Amino acid sequence: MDFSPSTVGLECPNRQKGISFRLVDEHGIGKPYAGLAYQLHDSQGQTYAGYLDEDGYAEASQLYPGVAVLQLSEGYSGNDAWYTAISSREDFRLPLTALQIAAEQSPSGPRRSDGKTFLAEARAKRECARFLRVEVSDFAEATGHLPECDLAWEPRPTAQLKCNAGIAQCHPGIALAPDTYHLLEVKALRAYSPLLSRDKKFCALNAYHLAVMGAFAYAPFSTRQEPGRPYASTPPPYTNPGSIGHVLREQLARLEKSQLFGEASYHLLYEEVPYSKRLEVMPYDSERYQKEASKGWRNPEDVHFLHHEQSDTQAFITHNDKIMLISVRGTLRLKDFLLDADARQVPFKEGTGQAHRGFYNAFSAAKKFVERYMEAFYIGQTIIVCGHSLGGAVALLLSAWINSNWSKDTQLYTYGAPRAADQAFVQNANELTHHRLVNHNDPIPGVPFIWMDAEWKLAAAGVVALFSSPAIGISLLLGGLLNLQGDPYQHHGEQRHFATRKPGSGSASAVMWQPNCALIDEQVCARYAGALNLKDDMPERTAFITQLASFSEHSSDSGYSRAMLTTMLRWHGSVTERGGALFTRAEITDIDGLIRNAEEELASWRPRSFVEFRNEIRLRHDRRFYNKTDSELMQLYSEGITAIRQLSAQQRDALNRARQRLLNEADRKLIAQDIFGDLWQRDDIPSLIEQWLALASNRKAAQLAQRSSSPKPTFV
Amino acid sequence: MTAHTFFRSRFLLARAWPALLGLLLSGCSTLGSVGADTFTLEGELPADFALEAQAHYGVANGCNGRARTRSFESDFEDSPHVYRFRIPVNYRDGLCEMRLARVGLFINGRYGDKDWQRTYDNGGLELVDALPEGAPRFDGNGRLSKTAECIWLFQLSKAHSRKGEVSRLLSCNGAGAHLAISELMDKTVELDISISTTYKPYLRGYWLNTQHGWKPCTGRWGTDYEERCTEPPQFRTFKMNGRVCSVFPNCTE
Repeated sequence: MDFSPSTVGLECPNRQKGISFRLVDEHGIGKPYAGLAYQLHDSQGQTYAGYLDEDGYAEASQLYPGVAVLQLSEGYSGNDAWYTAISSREDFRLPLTALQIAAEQSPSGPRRSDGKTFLAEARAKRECARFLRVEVSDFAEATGHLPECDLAWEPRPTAQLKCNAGIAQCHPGIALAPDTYHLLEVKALRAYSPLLSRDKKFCALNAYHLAVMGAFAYAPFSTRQEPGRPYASTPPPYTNPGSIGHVLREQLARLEKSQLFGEASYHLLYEEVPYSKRLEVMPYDSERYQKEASKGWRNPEDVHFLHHEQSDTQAFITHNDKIMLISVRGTLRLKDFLLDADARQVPFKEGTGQAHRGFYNAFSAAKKFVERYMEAFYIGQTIIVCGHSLGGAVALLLSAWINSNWSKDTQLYTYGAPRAADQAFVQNANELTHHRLVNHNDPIPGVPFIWMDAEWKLAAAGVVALFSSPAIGISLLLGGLLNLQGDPYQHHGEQRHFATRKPGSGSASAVMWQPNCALIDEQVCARYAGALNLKDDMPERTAFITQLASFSEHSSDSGYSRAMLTTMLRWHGSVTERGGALFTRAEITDIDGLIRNAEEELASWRPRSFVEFRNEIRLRHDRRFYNKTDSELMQLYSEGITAIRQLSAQQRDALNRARQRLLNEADRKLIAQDIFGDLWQRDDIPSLIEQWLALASNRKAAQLAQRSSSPKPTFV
Repeated sequence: MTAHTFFRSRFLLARAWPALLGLLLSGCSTLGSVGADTFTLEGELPADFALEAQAHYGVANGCNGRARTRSFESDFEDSPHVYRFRIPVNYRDGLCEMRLARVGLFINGRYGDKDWQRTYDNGGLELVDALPEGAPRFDGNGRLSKTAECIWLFQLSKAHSRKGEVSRLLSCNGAGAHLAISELMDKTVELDISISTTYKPYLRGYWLNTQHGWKPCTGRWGTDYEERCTEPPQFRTFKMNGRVCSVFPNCTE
């Protein structure tokens, strides 16, 4: 717009007698504050009370001349069930005011390039008003539950002016100058919340966001514990970037998008929500919340973060009005765990069956922590649990308990999780929705490996398989599979498998599908289980285990979060550009190649004769076969061979079914629900995803995902 | 002496060597103090309460070791009872000198037989170099006595497996103290736990206190739980151990 000098001069006659003011939101609109009760206190102690009009305006002329203090501290008295609950609960009861709730309802306003809002300021100029920026905390008697003061939000009412307000200055609120019309822009009390579907059905959005949340559980809540120092929680502010407290309390709660979760760097899809409906971190106010402090909830960290020394378990829990989010981290010392742990099981007292002892101990600690949190803050939200690696195993036990006790509205996503419990447990927990994501080259889901069991008897058939065939590749696989299937551990949940399409191409181009066939699903785990069984002596195993623990495909960041980001981008590309095709032609060819390879390997298996088998054992001096007579060996041999034949036949059928499934899946059309779950119909989704896709790192990842799916010449 | 115990004592001796060396070097003459510097934590518990103490230790010398935790537990009993824990202030773990930093307390309470009918509240002893001003000190007999006051908070359970049942939260005040680490050896901290005979609803304004007891309101949002009371109030029934009730804690009016 072009202003000529003659139109600039607005007329602002100084006709104000008394004090007037208008509260507006970041769009310059006063309606959100209509009907709000206010009090003006003059310097002589007179109070003038009233209600703001339909455009947030009020004036008072009967005041004693001079500075007056505007008080807006009327308590919230609306009928919203959520606001009522958080202001009525015994633990961390929030002193909500009507002003706070009004400020939570208006979306944040547009910003200039310097980050400042401008609509309210423009209105102030038009209306010749003195323009001030205020925050809800300027009027609140208690501010521990509100974001810390935004220093960039100015011009602010001055403290100096309030000093001139006489006895009025003891009232909470801001000082207004006499004979002036004020336009007060209230900062929108809004927060970012990561989008999560409440529908139990698998969706790419949840899988991606929860992969990042799983990685996030490795981060400290405030600062990392120094070795040798006992763990202690820290009061806010949480300034350490990437820490859980920093992301939840200092970033999302202050309408800042977080890109760093622990050490993983990702952009999530966020929605803007009213501040009190964000992922809550309890307020810090040691005066007001003494009772909470005395019960061990001294710092927000104590409420939301579990650090259990004995089982080396960490978890964080937070919630908003719709969901309760729990992320579990298993031991950081994965290598130690693999070396030390045995496969011993203990009864799962909270349900049926037996669970791994180590995981059960970690679960017991997590349960105690989660149960108290839920007693205090759960009011029927959808419960979403996630966990990576050993944390996934603990998350499974925890979710099974939550699902049977707290709410059937529970969903679990695990990433590279080992097997936590036995068949009875798995059957009993079949009502629990568990999406289990496994990278093709990740050996950890095979844990506990059979050798962890002192009674290696269970592995006999597998070991026979290993020694009975010279073709070491396939016998490793079959032997390992026999071990995995013959031991007392079972996987729970519906598996989704990330297949790497070309050797070395990594998670950036992984394709997710559901083979439902052990020879592919568990191929890598089986090979490692087999290989471990061949390594009879400890030093060799130690070296091997060290290698296992450092597989990049098992990493929560470069392995799972990356693969899930790729899937999310590919699925979105498919729905918007390829008419919903799940796989490209090239991808089908590649995956079919995986199946064909497995079939060929299976067909190549030829058993050795008994004599060769016996020689092999003697050659290897395998202690496990010492003291066996020839006829005992013969029996082991023939049982082993029979088991392998049965397994081979069974896997041939499974491979066939996997191929059928692949072809069927190729025909299935992906729809928006597969990506966004129950959020797909929301009006704001297209613009949110557009902004998200436009982020440079996502554009790059999309290209990477895309490049590998472009058709290649047949001779490559 | 059997071969077995002989082996053990040799083993212990081997582990104690660095400690003995440390004693000689520091000129400390208290014999027998290796691994035996303790204080006593004791007190009374009401019926159906138990106490669990988790002592957290940090490494006090330059060794490359991890922080450690040791647990002490007393059991639930049907009548009031006492507990007594002897908690090491210092101990040796291999090459590491471990020093107590904090004792986390779990005050466990139960109000029924079911797994979910037990809960806890925390307390703790903070070990500090210098006591904060006004902090209570050990008396002439080496005792420091405190009483933690607990109260049960009740609400309708939000867990579907116990829908309509009353569940409780435990809230304790004063279950903590600051202790000067230099004064702690061989002293006794007496922490008695008391439980209030009255109850309080967890959600303020959702239950009405009548002459017969607390009554849960309904009729506002149509949920399965207690709701903020309307004017005039409408009440709902609830369950206690399967029994249908109208007032808490007496069940019937």
